[in-house]
Amino acid sequence: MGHWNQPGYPRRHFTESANPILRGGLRLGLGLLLLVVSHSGLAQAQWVTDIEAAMFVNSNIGDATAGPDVHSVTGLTEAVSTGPFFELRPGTNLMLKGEARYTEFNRYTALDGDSLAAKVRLEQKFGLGRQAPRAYLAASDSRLSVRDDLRSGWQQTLALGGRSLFGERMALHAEMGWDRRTGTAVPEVRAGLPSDVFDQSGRRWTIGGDYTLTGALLLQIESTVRRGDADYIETTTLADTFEGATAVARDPAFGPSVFVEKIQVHALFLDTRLSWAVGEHTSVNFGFRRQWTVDTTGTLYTRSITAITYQYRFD
Amino acid sequence: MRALRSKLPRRDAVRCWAKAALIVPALVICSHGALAAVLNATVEDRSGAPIEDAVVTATPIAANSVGTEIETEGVVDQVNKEFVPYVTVVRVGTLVRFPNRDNIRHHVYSFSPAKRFELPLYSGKAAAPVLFDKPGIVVMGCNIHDWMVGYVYVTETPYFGKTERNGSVQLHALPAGDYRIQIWHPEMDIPEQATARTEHLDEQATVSANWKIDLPAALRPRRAPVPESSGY
Repeated sequence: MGHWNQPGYPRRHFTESANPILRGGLRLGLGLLLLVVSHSGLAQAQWVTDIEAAMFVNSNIGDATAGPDVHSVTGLTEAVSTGPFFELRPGTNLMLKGEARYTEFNRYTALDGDSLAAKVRLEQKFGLGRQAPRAYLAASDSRLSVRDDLRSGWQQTLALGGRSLFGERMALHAEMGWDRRTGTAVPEVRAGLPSDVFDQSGRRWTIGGDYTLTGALLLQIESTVRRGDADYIETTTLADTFEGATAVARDPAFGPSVFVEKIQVHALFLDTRLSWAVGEHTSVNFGFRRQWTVDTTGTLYTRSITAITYQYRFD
Repeated sequence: MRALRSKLPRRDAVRCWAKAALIVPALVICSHGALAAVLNATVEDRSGAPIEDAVVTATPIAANSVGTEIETEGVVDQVNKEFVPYVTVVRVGTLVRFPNRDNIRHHVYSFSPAKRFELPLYSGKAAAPVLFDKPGIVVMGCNIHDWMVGYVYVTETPYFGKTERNGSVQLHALPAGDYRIQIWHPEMDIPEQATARTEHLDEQATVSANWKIDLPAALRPRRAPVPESSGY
């Protein structure tokens, strides 16, 4: 799908500026977990495989503010994940997953890329039955490989959340999470201004609810506030002051005179999804996200994403 | 018998044998239900579509006419992370086994007043059977697989059945008499008592009974995947 919009786009290979301690620790932790679990009853594990395909429209892929930099794109995502699910003891469940994901766009195909992720989720139920509240701790470590090397790197997430059913139809959940990613280091465009635009971290808080409309239809509404680093694109020149930016790099994925800037933001995401259970293992999901982002200078960035997702679970 | 025969005069002994010769075949015939009635029950929805898994019970109105035979064991299996069968009918006092044919763990539980229990099931290890000793409806779930739901209907009468895919069930060997006949289905929207009717069954009679009930769209726990994020 699509083509390189800049045929002469040079591929760049620079040293990653990842945090080796955090990365190494996470990987070691996941490895140890796999080892422990494999000795605690692998025969009783349940294997879960998910296949997902999504088509989405992003109204502002670069999260830009100025009209000429606002680019709407259509994208496709295909993902497959698989892993064992263990009941460690009554009420305590552990899910391990490996996930491969590929995303491609109809324009700005330098953003096409894939990711390989290891995910772990530990869940504790407080009581017996569907209505019992539960808490979970989830972590992931993924390798992002984007055609535009600037965006390639590692991404880690950590989330602590809880979920409970209220009656037969409604479930509420809350989650707080941390995320960080690393990009590829590139030369500074201006002395003294860092270029590690995609070395980002943030914290987020989510509340949401599910409401079962019918046996097959589920409505999900979710609100997330995120505080931390974000990036946006701007067509400008080096003479620009890059006000509010904590890092700047050239971004040939969008054009020769486009810069991508790292900023400190507060963002609000509102997600609405309608999930239709087509069968016992299949669902088709319609999602809409509206996102508002405000940086430290008070500039507002908005975008919306509309998606249709097909999911198949083999369990 | 030999001792008895030796104490009886010869004529009394002959009379005794003659009575036995009449009574024994009669008992045999009765025990095979040749003189008993048959109830053909059909359960449909309002549009005439057959309803599977509807429980049909026939309770003798004369309290002392309830039979004593008890099916001593029932089985509720776990297959492909579902309870099989979805609805099981047993008589009070029945032991039910949960064999777990899946090669993974299940954790079966029930909060129902008729039977509260919790039963961790491991693949390849037989769990102790559960005694269903009170009449009522027992709703079961699995603490690991939230979508799993199954029902055990525990009844005092020995005359019960469950409709097949064609919506029909036949109750055999019903002694003649008056019966309260009623149906129950997990998804029906009226109380079981509202379906009750009284029927008089004669010996060797075959009686048909038909019910039309509403089954609102079931709100069974969902098994299909739910999006964890927006996927983009």
